[in-house]
Amino acid sequence: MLFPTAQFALFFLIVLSISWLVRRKRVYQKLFLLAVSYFFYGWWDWRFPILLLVSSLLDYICGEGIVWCRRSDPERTQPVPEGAMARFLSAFPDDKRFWLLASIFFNVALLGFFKYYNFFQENLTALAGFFGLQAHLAVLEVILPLGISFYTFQSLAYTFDLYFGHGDKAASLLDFLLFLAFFPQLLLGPICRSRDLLPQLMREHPEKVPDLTRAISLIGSGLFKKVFLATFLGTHLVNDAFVAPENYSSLELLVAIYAYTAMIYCDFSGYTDLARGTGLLLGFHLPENFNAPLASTNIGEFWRRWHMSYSRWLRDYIYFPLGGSKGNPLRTYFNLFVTFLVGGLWHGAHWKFVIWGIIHAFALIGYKASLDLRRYLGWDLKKVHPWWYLLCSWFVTFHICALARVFFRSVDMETAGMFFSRLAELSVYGRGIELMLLLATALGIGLNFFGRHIRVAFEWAHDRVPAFLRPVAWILVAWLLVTVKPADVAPYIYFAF
Amino acid sequence: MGRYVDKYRPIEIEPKTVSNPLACVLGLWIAFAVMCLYGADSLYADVALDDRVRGRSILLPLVEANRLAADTLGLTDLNARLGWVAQSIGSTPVFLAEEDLLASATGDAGPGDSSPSDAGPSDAGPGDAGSGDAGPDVTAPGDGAAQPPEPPEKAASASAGVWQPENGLPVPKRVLLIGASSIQYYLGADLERKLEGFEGLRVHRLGKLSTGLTRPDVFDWPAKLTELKKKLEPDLVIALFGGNDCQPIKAGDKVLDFATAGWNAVYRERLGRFIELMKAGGSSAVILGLPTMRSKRFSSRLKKLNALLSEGARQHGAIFVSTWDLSSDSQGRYLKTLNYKGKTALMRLKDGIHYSRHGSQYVSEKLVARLQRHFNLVSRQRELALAARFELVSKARGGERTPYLAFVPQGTRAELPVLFLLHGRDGSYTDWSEHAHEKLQRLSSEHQLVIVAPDGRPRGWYLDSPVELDSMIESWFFQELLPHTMNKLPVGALRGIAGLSMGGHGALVLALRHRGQIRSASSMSGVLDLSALRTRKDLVRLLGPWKKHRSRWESVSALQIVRSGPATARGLPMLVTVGRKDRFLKVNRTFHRLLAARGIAHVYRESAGGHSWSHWTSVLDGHVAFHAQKLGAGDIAHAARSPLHLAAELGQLDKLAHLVARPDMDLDARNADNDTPLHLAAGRGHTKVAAWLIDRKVDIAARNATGATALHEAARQGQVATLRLLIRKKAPLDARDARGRTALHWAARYGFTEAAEWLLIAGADYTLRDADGKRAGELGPIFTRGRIEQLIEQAKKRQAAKKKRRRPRKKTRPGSRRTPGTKLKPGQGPGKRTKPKPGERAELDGKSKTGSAD
Repeated sequence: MLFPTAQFALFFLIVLSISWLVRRKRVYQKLFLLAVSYFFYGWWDWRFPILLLVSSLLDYICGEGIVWCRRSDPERTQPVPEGAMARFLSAFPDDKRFWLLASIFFNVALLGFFKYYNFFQENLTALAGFFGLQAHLAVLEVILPLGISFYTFQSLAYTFDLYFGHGDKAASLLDFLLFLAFFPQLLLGPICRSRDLLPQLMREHPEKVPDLTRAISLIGSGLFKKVFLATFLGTHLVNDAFVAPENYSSLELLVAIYAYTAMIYCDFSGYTDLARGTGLLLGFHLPENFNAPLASTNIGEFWRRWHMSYSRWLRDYIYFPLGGSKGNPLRTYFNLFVTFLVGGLWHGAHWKFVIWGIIHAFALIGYKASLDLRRYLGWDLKKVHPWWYLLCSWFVTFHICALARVFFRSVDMETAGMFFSRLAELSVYGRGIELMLLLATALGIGLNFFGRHIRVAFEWAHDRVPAFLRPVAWILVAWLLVTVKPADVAPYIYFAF
Repeated sequence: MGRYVDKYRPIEIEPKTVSNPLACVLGLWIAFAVMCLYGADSLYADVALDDRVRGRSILLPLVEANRLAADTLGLTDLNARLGWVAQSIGSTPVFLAEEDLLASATGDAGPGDSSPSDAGPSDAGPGDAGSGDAGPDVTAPGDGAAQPPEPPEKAASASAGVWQPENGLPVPKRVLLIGASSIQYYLGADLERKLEGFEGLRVHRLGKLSTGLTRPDVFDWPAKLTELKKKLEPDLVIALFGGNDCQPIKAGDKVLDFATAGWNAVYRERLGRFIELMKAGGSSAVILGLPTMRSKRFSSRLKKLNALLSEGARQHGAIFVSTWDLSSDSQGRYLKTLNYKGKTALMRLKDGIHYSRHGSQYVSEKLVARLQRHFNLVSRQRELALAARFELVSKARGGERTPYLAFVPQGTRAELPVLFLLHGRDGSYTDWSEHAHEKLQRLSSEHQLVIVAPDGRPRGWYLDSPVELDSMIESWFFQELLPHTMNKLPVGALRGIAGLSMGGHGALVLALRHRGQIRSASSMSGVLDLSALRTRKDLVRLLGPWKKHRSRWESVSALQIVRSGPATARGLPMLVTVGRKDRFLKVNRTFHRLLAARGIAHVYRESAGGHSWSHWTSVLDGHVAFHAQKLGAGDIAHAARSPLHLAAELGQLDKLAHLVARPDMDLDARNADNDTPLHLAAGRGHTKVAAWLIDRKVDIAARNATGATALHEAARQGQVATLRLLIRKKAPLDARDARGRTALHWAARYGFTEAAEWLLIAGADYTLRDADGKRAGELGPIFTRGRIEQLIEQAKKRQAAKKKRRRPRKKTRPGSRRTPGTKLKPGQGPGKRTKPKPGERAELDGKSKTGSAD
């Protein structure tokens, strides 16, 4: 079910009611949430939960294996597996690297097959053809399970953390299964680390609903951004402009780039808000994913604010293991490049995503180089810059990201090329832009600047409302949203991930 | 891996407030219930009209009850009113829109331009003249977007020569492409791109995801179509609906399930009304069929819908173009991968519904080829020939309407040789177009050949049947088809036939039996001996049993014809090709050996492949080239590529004359651009060659395709020496080409000041205006314009001086004062001065008096 639909609302309310009803019997509650999550996932396709189950089991065993191999490690904080599990694990090599590699292998193979098989096949055939050979890989129609990239990365994070000794181990299989399958964050949600979600699953469930105001504000903002802004921007200009850019003038394409920036921010952060809000209503805190990213003044800051869970994942499990910024500057740049190459490819099996990753890699390398240069020249890195400096750097950062996003959104490289050539024509008049579209774009981008204030104001107002009148407030909010809702709900951009 | 520093900070969990879960949940339920009441209508529509959900009994009564409650509370009314408010806020002005959506750069002639059948070449409007002119006129870089009024003289003749198809098919100028998600995304975008590749066509596309004709509450297509038609005035509307129409329809209070009788009736009626709307105002309507889907259930539903769509299209006069075969394999099942343009890739996106980029490129190309059978569309690429469909009613075939598809190179003025391409058994005239449309367009243009793909019944075997009296295909071919093509197409008496399989048999047999009418024949995997198929029922039905009528069978088998009378085959250029895996390989080899034994010249080739379209499309090039060569198309086709023209162009003609020019050769022969050798020599500045040609009395004032004479060519290329030669030889100075320009215009246009000077000295008229209304002095690059104006001033002065000098001479009376010291010469006395002496005024009076071509 798509999040902002009546079906999901009904489903969620039922889940919410029963979850709070059985909260005292923790095991039943977790079982119930697990069943419900699998049901939610299976709604799309009955085969997806099977895949998720298999993947979860494999990773659980790998996690247990790692801790088992570290049983004699003095710094180990996680409990060692015992009994039948221990006997099973002792049949395998007693090296934690084995289990880590096994986990990496399973997850990457899974992701690689479902997501990248066609890409691989196409490019191999093209490459072979270039040398005059014939590659006989079958063209399979592989169905991409939703959310596979997310839960694969989440379980990889789990095993990595255990390997380094930082994470929490799941107390039982049930905990681990629920950790991966928890439905608010299953499809597109923040990539939760074991230290975030597992403790919440393993300890006592809260007595009362934590931070209801926050939850309502999150759900409200998520619905508004998703249902109104993203859909509106998508159906009115963005989708068409990126599929057939030759129909639009250069100025309109420029507006389309800004509109797409606003759209993807609203879309993705809207989903995250809905995920966090629903999780909060159920009593779980999910990590932040967006922190006003479009207001970043440099690209490093951008990646600390955009899709935070993902960039932290890349930093912790690719960048740092490669060496991070410990070595010489060239090595650092190389690490950045590789990290973002992988980061780009993760988004999809297409060269445009690789180009996107490379653009961001070069931007980051440039930023890092400028920092290194400043350090070398002895300038003060902590200096507070004047307003015009910040404005310029914001402008540059914003546009670098917007440029990369053109590739991200374009249908293929050919259309992206057409987009840019049309942009370079500098024509002005075309099919026309609605005023509402410009306002929506401005609003979408502006939310990065004054969104916090709106939220604070809303929460203040919500706190003032007495408990028995709260439903009225909620009805008002919902009614406002329904009134401005455009005709169709656009599927999430990140949905096929 | 180095020392790992843990930089990850877990989230902080310190809630600011806590609330009673019971209160929260209850509150949320209340809010939900109220919102359900508010949105009762759309909820009901979502559930009741989604047949995946309708079956689940628990939701439907709930939603019904909800709707009832909402009605009693009067909330639906409120909803409607508020919705109206929201909409009126939403309709805001549009920025940066083009002034006139109807205007286009090619210059629209307006909505009345859609019937070429009564527009003969001579009264072609501005738009048509543009398409004829723009081709050969390569030297003029894009000035003058709008076509101005024709200059008086012979400019009209330039566009008058271009052949236009007179087949009564419409020529659309504004196309409206509507539909659901396929039109909104890849297929629509690619279709739009391909359609805009046609001359004079402007496409407007509107696709809306998840819409159709069954749910007017979601999106009202009839209303939108009316609005679009009023705004854009299209003359062709193409629609692709149905993908979202496989759902229940709400008619009044009843909900009708898909594909029930009631549903069909309602849908037919809606479709009929929609088609009428599409056709309103005289537009043509095209309904595109729906493709297969990965889901078998969906596919079977779409099959039913396709039947409804095609029936509705037929009833209401729309054209139905099927895409089912494009998206399915040979067994009619969902086609997963597609090999197109050398790449094998998935045809659909991950959902198994929408086309991928690869798939949509393929489908749009095929669709556009199919559309060319119903409309006269000229490609913007000059190397793609025009494809036009004609139809004739055949008496020999019992009144059957026999269509044929003709590929005519763009800009054809003269008569061209024609190649008839015959289809195989169980085929039709569309076969070649379906498999090699663009290839045929290119081949036709490249070899300057008209290619005709006729329809000779699926099992007609291209013969006159003595048994079935309305199956006289051979008679039809020669007595009806040939005259029809000679009437409608720019073809002469040079004809060739080619064909595949049954068509290969037809090509050779028809050529052998009518030697006088057919110049060359070729067969691809032909069935060269019908006797080998003597058990086939269709042949038996046409010819009678083999045992009884053996002579009949042998008289229409290529192999037997040659065997019985080799003389019939002698002198006929023949090409026979066959694939090595073909089942007719043996008979083709026998035929080849027979011809060789009898000493009959022919060309025989075996190549890889079998009895399949991939093989036939690969040998097609060879066959067309063969016919082009044999039909002598090469002599006039390739621009400047006949030996005579080439020698003239390279400036070697005078030296190589004995090799290239035959004694009886016409030195005024024209190439494809209608250039004579003099044009080419003048343009390249080969003065000696030009002098050689002029000495042999070529037409110095000959005009080429753009109406230019040799003088124009010399002036345009700034060849001063040749220009002076032509002036000396009395080339017409003020001759005007199709753009109304004289040689002086061209010299000024390209800044050749010396050439302009010579022309002006010779007395060229600098006051003449070209088709754009410009005089010679107003053309040309800025840096030479000053000099040109100077030259014109000098010319003006010269003319004035000449006029002044004339007057005193006329005023001289016998006996009047003469300049002192002048003695009268014999014969110079009064009364005897009538004409100036021959040599006297020659250098001043170089221009011919009439100023036009002599």
